Amino acid sequence: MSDRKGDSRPDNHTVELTVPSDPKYMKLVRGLVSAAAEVVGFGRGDVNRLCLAVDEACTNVIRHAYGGDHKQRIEVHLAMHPDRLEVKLRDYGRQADPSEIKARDLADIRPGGLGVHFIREIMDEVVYDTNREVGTELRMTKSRPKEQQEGP
Amino acid sequence: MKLQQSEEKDLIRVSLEGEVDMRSSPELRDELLAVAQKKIPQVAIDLQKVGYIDSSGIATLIQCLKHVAQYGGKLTLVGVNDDIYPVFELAHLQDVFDLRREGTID
Repeated sequence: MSDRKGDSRPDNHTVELTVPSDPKYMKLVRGLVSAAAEVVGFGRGDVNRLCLAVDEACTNVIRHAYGGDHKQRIEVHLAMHPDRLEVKLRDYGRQADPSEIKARDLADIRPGGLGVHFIREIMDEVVYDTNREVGTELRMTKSRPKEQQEGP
Repeated sequence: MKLQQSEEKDLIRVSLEGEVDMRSSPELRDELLAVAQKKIPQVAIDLQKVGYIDSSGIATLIQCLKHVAQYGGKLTLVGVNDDIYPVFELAHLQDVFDLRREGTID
């Protein structure tokens, strides 16, 4: 414990939540993301957008990685930095080829396919890491606008 | 999510309350399909008490828009508040839907 003394980035700047791959738990995930985004200092609009991006990513995990199976698990890892929020979503389902994960053409007005567009539009960085035996780790980062930066 | 309906001459109003997400959208889809089947000329969906909407909710509203347009009706989304309007903007749908900040059509 003593070697933590003076560490400006202790582990308590990260939070983790594991939830079943069931839509009824997504409100819980949004609540956590919202609270973490507020700690980082995002304004209300960005807090809402961050919740939306993480929610959409979880929805894609449930639908595509787990094929609608609500009994699997999703691990949510949030790292709160002074200037940004890093989100990692880990699933243990079917891996998709990252190059095939595409947002749809918005000119084509039809239901579906909007989630990936939302994620890419909202987050600054989006990496689908399938370089593991099972499942995917999706890493997403959102930085605070420069004029708002102070630190948690 | 809660849903209430009221009908008057040539207008049906569907008021939603809560969060429209992957969990509640299937129920909303069924309800809005039933509303469209009534073929009432003017359909108003009141979103004033909706604090959150995701892509599945937007997709449900797109379906409703198409069903209502099919019989020549008009769909208006009223009470579009500051929490959900940005989602329509993100989807580039702010000009596709008739969106009103006010809770009424007129």
